[in-house]
Amino acid sequence: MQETDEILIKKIATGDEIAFEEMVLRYQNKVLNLIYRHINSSSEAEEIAQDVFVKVWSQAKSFKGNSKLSTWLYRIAINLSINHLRKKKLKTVSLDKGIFLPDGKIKKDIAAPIDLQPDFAMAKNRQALLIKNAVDSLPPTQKTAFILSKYENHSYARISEIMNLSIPAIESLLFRAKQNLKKFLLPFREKGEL
Amino acid sequence: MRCQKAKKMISLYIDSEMRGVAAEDLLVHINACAKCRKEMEFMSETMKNLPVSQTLRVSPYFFAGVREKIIQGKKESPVFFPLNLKPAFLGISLFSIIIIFSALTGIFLGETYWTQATNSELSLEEAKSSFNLGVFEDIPDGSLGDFHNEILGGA
Repeated sequence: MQETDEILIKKIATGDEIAFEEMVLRYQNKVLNLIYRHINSSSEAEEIAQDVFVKVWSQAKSFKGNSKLSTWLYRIAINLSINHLRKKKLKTVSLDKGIFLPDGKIKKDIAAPIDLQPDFAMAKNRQALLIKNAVDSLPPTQKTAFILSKYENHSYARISEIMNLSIPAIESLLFRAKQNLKKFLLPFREKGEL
Repeated sequence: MRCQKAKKMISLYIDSEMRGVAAEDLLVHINACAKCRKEMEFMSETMKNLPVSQTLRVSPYFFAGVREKIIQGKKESPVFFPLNLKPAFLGISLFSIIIIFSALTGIFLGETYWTQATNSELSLEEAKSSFNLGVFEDIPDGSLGDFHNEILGGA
């Protein structure tokens, strides 16, 4: 019989490796996909997902059980994803200063065009790519709320639990997210590209 | 219903978070307001065209990787760094603690000396006796000690 999350986490807190493995098997794909939807890189997503479970193992004793195990896991996954994106952004800023080419010129745009990036190769058309781009441009909390709502299909109540915010705050975040998407996409629509 | 309120309600409606009378009110407004109808159409279409995100599965070595990281983490966390703080941060903290400790010690000693100096009526004679200065008064004339006193005290 499958053990409940509550029992599992209690066992993990005592150092039970079998319980830990069972918990990892139960949540590994959910955590991986949540991270992947934030960072859009499958190889990096797996690394971060591993870090999530390492953190759970090391902090299991401090888990007070005020929230569900899955909520705690999602929170860690979201925080690590946002931290990863921040670090990546910082690195990109420093690279944006440009690289020197052999002919002495400075090449500033060194990031691959979006449609050449491997993780976007699966996207079927330009419209989907534009929307994906718009979602990626959202501020971190709006993006998280949007992913949890639209890709993970969680209700506002569940999102508020995961993000530790009130339901009106989630309503506001998702409203602003949609308005930002509209702001991003409207010029393309006016040009007839959407 | 005002358009601003309708805009917010459209967001809820699209996410299936609004039902009943409120939803009916919104639909009545949308039927009557071209601007809000356009907003609703745009939002619905955008949400419908959200790219289907591929669903990943972890690699077969996922758990082995987790275990490896845990073992690695145990090896890397030294006993004398329980908080996993950066050495630079520890250095600054240690320096600050030393400065604060020195300042407090200085204040404490200064206060003690000041209290002693003002409270105890330590006469010159007492001071002389306590430091055994009387020994130097019986030095024979012309001796090396006398010469030394001459230089120092002009006596």
